[in-house]
Amino acid sequence: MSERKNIDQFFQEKFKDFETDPPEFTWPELEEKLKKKNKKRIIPFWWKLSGIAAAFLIGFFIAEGITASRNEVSKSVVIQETKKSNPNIPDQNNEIVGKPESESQKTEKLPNEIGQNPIVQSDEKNPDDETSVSDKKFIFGKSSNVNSKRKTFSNDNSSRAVAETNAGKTNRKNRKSAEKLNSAAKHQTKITKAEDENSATAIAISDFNKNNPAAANANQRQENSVVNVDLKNTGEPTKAIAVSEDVNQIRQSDFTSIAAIPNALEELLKQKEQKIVVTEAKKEKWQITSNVAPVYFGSTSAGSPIDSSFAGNQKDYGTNLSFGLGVNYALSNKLKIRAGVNKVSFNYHTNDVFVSAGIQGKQLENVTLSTESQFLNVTNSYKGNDPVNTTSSPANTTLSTDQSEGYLNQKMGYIEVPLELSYKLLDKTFGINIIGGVSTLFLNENEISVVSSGYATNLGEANNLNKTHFSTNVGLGLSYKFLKAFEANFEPMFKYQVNTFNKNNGDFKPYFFGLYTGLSFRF
Amino acid sequence: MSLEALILDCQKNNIEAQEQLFRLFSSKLFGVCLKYSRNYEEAQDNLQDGFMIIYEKIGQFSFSGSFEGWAKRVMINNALQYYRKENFLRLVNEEIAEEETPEIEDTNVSLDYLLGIIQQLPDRYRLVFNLYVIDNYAHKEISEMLNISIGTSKSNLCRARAILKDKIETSQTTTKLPSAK
Repeated sequence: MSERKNIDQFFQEKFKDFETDPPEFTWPELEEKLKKKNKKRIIPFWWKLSGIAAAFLIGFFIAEGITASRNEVSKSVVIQETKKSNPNIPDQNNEIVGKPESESQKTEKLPNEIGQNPIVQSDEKNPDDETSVSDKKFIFGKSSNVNSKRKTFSNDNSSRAVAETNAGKTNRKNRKSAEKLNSAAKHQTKITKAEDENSATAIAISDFNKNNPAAANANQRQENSVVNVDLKNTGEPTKAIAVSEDVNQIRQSDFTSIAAIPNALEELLKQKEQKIVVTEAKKEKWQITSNVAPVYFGSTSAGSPIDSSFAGNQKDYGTNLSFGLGVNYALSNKLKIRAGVNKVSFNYHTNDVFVSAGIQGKQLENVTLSTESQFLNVTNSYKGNDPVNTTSSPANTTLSTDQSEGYLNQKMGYIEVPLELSYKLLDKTFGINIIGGVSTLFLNENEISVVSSGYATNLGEANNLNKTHFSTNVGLGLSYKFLKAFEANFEPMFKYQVNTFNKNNGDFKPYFFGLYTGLSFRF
Repeated sequence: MSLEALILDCQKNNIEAQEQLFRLFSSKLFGVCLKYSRNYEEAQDNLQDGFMIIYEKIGQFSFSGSFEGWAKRVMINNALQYYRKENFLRLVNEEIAEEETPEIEDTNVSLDYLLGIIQQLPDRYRLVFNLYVIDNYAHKEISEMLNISIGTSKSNLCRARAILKDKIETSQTTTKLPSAK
């Protein structure tokens, strides 16, 4: 009789070396999954490569198109002529197109051939050409039909595979597989309707599968290899189609059983890909900046753009304000391109000038006088020591009042559009950049006034200022990240003006130095 | 080819090596899957998923322990993962007083039948019973693996034992052995 045993011990002994072979089809299914997974991994790599290759190819065709465009006209002439000249060469046209290097040889033959062959031959040639072309078309038509059919099948496979990987679990497997087979069968019926032959068998198979998915599943697995061999050996397209339908169904049913498995690895892979996409997307490339800056205006030389007589006068350069908005785009981790719009104005005083009223105002070289100032004389010296001083002329002497000392104030305002590159030297909480670029400045304020005895009088406007001019910019950018997307910036910039004046700048070479401070927001 | 060389080849995603590895271990691991699954089909699914994870993670195998043990743990974890997803494990606390391990008569009961009654156990009972009795995990480990309390693990084990004992005894009383499923 048997002895009593602890139930744990009983089960431990029974299941000590418990092993069972899994069903035969487990490995083929697994292999397919592995191959799929490997393919998925390869895709990004190939995408990159193919992208590069495509770029090269496009570049090549563009370059070739440009260089070849000159020869194109003469080539087409050659083709026509050779066609006419020698109808006995059936694919001459193709040969010429395919092998342009042989072209010269053929063109050399041309005169002889034209001479040898009467024109009638060119007429004879035409029917031949047509038949051969139509034959070809016929053949191509056939093969493309077959191809397109096969393509639709392969598409079916992939779409089903996708649909089925999302399928539910084993409990629902039979029901689901039946449904899917049903839909698959419907689909196939549609296709087979378009064909004359084999449709009956195909429908029969699909009907059979509809009714008995489990049995079909098993049977088709067994037939799988045989069917594959058939597919390889068949020469007739119709047969191939019928067989490929079978294969479809087998694959489909195979997929159904695979589909129920939640593919944890695929999910992981997808998650990884998504993460990459997300991180790429998160990498903010755009940055909006606002800035305000005290701007120090100056000149590298001591001229005067108003009148050459003021060249020696002392100048006081004013400090003004610039403010604006900018946008930065990160070209790479280190390099940024910056653009924006700033409003900036400059002014400076030309000191030690004397103002007096006269019948006729003195024309300053580069000033278009306003109506109110046309009787003012502005000179750089008292009582006509200056040879150009009109007060020294007899006509004005009697009418001139006392001269009063004052200064000239020239004011220029611009809308500045900078276009700069910045290169990151340090990218931590504190950042350091070097900045270089150009600005386009559009003149929007132009005024010269004279200030004397506490009164300011508008003298007119400078007529030697360009409406648009440029500056070359160089500077240092310091930034401090105080929030994830926010940065405080401080950028001392030196901007040298290039063509401020269109004529007679009086050796005045302006520049300005701005201490741009602002906030930026990254997105 | 040694197992080590085979594993190294698998780490390089060599499909032939992967097949050979499958042929070597699929029977043992399918046995594991059968015990932890509700039925044969589910065991097949678990086997495939488990192998996919093995191929994926085989690079992490450090050759410090037995490969079979490592692969088995992957399989078990994968099977448990399936139930974790279903979120069935967070049931009410059903702790009961521990009982003594029951004894049964050691008659010639077929392995198929025993497997059948294990598979028929409620999910958590089955998992706890397998983990504790057949694969020698401690209650503390089981509680962590299944995210349940140690008490729940113990009570589940008791219930599983009781159910299995009843079924075995019922089968022993009938003259004819019932089929496995």
